[in-house]
Amino acid sequence: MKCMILQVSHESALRLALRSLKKASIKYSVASSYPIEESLNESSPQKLSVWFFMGGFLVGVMMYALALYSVFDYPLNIAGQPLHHPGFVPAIYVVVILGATLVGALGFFFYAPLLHYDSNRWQEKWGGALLEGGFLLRFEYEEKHKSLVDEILEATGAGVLERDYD
Amino acid sequence: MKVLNTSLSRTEMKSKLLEVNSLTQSWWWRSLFAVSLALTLIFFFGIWKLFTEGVGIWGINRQVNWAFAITNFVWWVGIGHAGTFISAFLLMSRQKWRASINRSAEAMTLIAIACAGLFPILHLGRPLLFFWVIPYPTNFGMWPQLRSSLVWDVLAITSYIILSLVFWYIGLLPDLRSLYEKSKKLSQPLRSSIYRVLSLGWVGDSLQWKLHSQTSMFLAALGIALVVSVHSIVSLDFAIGVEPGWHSTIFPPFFVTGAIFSGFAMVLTLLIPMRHWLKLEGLITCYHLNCIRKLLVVSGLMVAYGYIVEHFFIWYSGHSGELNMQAQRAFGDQAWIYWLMLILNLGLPLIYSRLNAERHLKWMFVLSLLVNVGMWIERYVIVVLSVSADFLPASWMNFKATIYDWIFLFGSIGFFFLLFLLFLRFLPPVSIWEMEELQSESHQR
Repeated sequence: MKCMILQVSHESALRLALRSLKKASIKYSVASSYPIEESLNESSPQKLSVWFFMGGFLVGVMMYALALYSVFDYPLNIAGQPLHHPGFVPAIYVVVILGATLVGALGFFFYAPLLHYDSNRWQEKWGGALLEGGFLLRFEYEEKHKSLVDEILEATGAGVLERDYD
Repeated sequence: MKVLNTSLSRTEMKSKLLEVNSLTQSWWWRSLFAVSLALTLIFFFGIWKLFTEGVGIWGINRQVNWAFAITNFVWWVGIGHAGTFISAFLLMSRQKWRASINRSAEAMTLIAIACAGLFPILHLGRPLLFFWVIPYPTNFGMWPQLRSSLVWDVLAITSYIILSLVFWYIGLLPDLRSLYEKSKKLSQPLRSSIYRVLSLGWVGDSLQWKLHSQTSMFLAALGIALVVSVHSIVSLDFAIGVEPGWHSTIFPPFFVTGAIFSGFAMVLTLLIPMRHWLKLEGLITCYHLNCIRKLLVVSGLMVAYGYIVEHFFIWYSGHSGELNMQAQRAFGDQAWIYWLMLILNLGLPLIYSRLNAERHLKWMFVLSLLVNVGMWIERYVIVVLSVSADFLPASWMNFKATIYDWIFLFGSIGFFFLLFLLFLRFLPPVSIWEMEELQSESHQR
């Protein structure tokens, strides 16, 4: 199995290449400066929703525990206070949203994955290709797909940035 | 109507937007920056004076002890609502026209909330102890009262500013990467290293874009839940009090619609000159301005409905304190403020409904300023006039603003514009990747 990175100048050419690759069941990934619908479909779904939910849920539980604790520990608690009071709702509500936001954003950073500066071939090739409005296309192919790859190169006019690396 | 009105190709548009910050190196930016900086310095002088001498430098008295500080706070929080509304509501409802204006509207939100967040701290009296409202373990067993509306306020504003910041920053990541590459190409080492760190190694591959889209939708959903609740909670600062003029169940929806009304007015105040000076007329078109104008009219009419209901409640309750407060508002010593509020906030939406961005752009700008003035006065009427004359005639007392009250108002306005001008200088005011996407979609159609 070999890898190839192409630089494609036009979106229509990219879509053409993606369709051919999809037809031949070849795995691919696209780097673009804006989301391209066809390329998004190839990514496997991640569990981001779980991060958002767990963030909200755990912070909500913690906040509720804090609210209950403050009923007992609050220094002005001289006459007793109800355990479950509507007055606790607004504070818990907004902090649940805050927890979901922060943990969800962490999930995004984790899965994306971000904070990997200049650590892969995408990063190295990015500037020249995408700043001018182009796209990077990476795919893995086998020997039997060689003719298809040639067809794609001819049809799209794509430039080969790197080929045959493992 | 076309959302974009430009003959530029996608790549030309991208280059133009990457260059747009350089247009700030001109007379208008420098002049506005100088004025804003001067006002900000005056603001900081006021803060120093406040810290050294205490809240007595303001015109507050025994009866009116929130006055300008909380009026400014509520006004700034309100202005901060339009950005999240544009980002969250319009993203969820798939409104394409938001793409041109969401970045600057979100920046406006962040800066407005930062300005708002200063005032509750400044008016504490002992501002250096503001952290006591945060629940943290201390050795003197002090816990904030989580059922207090002031603690709700702190948590709501903190949550709102963090969510807005995260939403804005995640939306900015792809453009930060482009800015990094551009500054690297131009051999600008300082800028490129800053943009490089800020872009977090974004590459824009399929997985990142998919996650970016999912995260934006989740944050938008959370943003909607928060945008409605934050100003509702701010309104509860008043509504849970027993003061006439404050103790009203209409306050939460009334405050939220008022916030969106003033927020959209500020969006127009910023966008109309910005699109002209940054030559963005093809991207922020009259269509966008008319969309904002329509939302402004709708929210203005909802505010008008709030006024009607509030006055009906006062009359229908038959409560002598409420009736007296209303009489004082309408015919008391500062009645002109009340009538000015009604004229501005009831009249301006009606005038706005007759305007059109193609023909009345200058008027739209002038009226957007007046809406902001009207909404500040509305907050003044609620915060100050309501408590000037409450249950006990013996304690009635009018508020008289001092020079420091005005310094804090205009100083915070200067601070707001200073930060917004810095935003225009260093970050793209229009989302480049969303414009590319929009241009690509329009070509496909």
